[in-house]
Amino acid sequence: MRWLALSRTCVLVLISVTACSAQAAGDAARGADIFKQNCSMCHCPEPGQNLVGPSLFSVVGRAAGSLGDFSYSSALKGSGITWTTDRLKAYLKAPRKYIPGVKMMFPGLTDEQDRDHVVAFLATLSKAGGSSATAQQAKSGE
Amino acid sequence: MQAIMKDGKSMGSDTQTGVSRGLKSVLFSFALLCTMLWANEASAVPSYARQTGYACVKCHVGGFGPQLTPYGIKFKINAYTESDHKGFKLPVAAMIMAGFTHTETDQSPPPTPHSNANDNFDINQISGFLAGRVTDDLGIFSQVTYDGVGKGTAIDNVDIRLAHDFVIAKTDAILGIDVNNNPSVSDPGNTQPAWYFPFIGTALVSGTGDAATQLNGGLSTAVTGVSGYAFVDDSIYAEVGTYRALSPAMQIKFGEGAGNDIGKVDDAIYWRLNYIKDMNTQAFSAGLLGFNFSINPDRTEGGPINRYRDIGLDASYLYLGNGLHNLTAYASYIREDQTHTFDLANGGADNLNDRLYEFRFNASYYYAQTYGVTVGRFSTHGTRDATLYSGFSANGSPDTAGTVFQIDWTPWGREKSWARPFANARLGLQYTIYDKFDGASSNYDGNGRNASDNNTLFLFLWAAI
Repeated sequence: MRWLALSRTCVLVLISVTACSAQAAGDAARGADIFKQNCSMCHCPEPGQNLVGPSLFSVVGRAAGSLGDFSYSSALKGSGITWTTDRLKAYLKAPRKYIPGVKMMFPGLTDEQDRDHVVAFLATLSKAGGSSATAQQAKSGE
Repeated sequence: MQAIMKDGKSMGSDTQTGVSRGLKSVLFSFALLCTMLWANEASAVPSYARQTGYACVKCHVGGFGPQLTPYGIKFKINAYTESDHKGFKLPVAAMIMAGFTHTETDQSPPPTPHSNANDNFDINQISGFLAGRVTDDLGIFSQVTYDGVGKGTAIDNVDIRLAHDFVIAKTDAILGIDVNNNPSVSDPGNTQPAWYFPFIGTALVSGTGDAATQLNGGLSTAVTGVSGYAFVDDSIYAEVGTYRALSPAMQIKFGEGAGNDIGKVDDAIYWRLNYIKDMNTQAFSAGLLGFNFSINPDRTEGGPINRYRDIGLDASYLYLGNGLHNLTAYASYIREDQTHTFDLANGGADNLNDRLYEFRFNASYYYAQTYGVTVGRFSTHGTRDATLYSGFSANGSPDTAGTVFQIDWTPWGREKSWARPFANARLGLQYTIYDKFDGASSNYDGNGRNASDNNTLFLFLWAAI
C-alpha cells in the first residue's frame, strides 16, 4: 500500500512538473494575442514585410540585424548574436538594457509568462512552423 | 509690464500688423524652412503618423492632441525620426480649431473688436506644420498659426532636434541638441506650460487669468533657444540650455506685431531633470525644472533690468493597460521670484521683489481611446503689486483659480479608424468655473464683475489632416 501511495505521489509530481514546463515553454496562441497588442504596430509576422521594425518571420535562429532590406542600428548589427528563444526572452524583458543602443523604444514585457508566450508564438513563424493562421491572427488590423 | 502678462504680445493685437503683412512674413519663414529641409535631405518624410505608419494612439493618449504616451515621449526624444522607410511622404500637416464660447455674463466691452459680448463662434486658429524626419538623427516640429480671433499670423512653436543613440559604460544614452523658440516646448511630456492641459481653450476669455510665470508663455516665440539633452538608461532625462531674444525686426517678421518687443534677454539658463519610468502598460515621471534670466525691456546698454527665477516640480502617472481604459494624472508647480529693478525705476511696479506661484493638476480617463473625461484644477497666486498688475486687477493681486471640466470624442485615432492617418478630429465640450479671477472672487475689475461671470462653456471642434 505504501508503494502504491508513493507511486501515486510520484505521478502527481511528474504531472505537475510537466504542466509547469509546458507553461514555461509558453502558449503560442496566447503569444499571438500579446504580440498583436504589444508588437504588431511595429513588427509584421509575415515574411518580407518590414514596418518601423523588421519582419519577425523566422526570427528564431536568425542572426541579429541580418535582414538585408531593413536599416538596423549599429548596436544590433554589431551584437554578433543569433536569436535563440532564450535570447529573445532576455531581450524582450528590457531591450535597451540587453543590447544598449538599439533603435527599439519598446520598454519590454515585464511579465515572464507573457515573454514565454510571445517567444512561443515567434517560434512558430517559420516555414517549418506553418502557422500562417496564427500569424494572421497576430497581424495588425486583421 | 508686458513681460508679466500672459499672451500680452498676442498675435494681431497690434493694429499696425495687418493680416497680409503677417501672412507674407509667415510664408517667407515657411518657405525658408522648406528650402532648408529639402536642400538637406530629399527623403524627408511627412506628418509623424504617415512617417511611421502608426495610429495616433501609439503616441497620443486618447488618439489626438499633444497628450503623449510613453512611446510618444521617446519618439520626441529621438528627434521625431522613427520611420517605416516606405518612400517619400510630404512632411506637412494642417490643423483647425473652432468653437462656440458662452460666458455666464456678457463681457463688456466685447473681448475683441470682432466679437459679440457673448455667444461667439470663432475659428480659433488654423495651423500649418512642417513636421517630420529629416535624416536618421535630425527631425523637426514647426508650426505656423493664423489666429482667427486676433486676426494675425505668426510663427508658433518650433522644436528642431538632433539626437543619436550612444552606449556609454554599457548603458544606453540618447544625446541630443535642441533648437526651439519657447522655454519648455522642448520638454517631452505634459507637465510643463507649453504642453499642459487644457490643450485647447477659447481665446475670448483669459483662460487661467492674466498673470503668469515667464515659463508660462512670457517669452514664447520671441526667443531662440539652444539646449543639449540626454536620455540615459531609458529613464533619466536631463536638459540644459539658453535663450536669446529675437531682434525687434525679427519678432515683427515672425508675426509678433510692432511694439511688442520683449526686450533684451541675458543670462538665460533653462534646465530640466526628469525621471521617467515606462513599464509598458503604465508609466510615471517625477521631475524638476528651472529657468533663470534677466530682461532689459528697453534694450539700453547698462540700464536697469528685471530678473526672473523660476523653479518647478512636476509628476505624472499614466495607465494604458491594454488600451481599453486609459487613466492619466499630471501635476506641476512653479515658483517664480521676480526682481523688478527696471520696472521700479520706470514706474512699472511698486515692489522690487515679487513672487508668483502656479499650480496645475489634471486627471483624465479615456475609454476605448475614443471617449474622454478630464478634470483640471489651476491656481495662480502671488504677492500684491498694484502697479505691476494694474492692467487687469483692481486690487493689485495676480490671483486666479478655477476648475476645468472637459468631455470629448475622438472618433478616428485608432489603428482601424476610417481614412487613417488623414482623418483626425476631436469634438469636445469644456466648462471652466472660476473661484477667483485676476485678484478677487467679486468685483475683480473694480466695475462690479465677479470671477464667476467668466465661467465659460466652450464647444469645440479640433481637426487635423
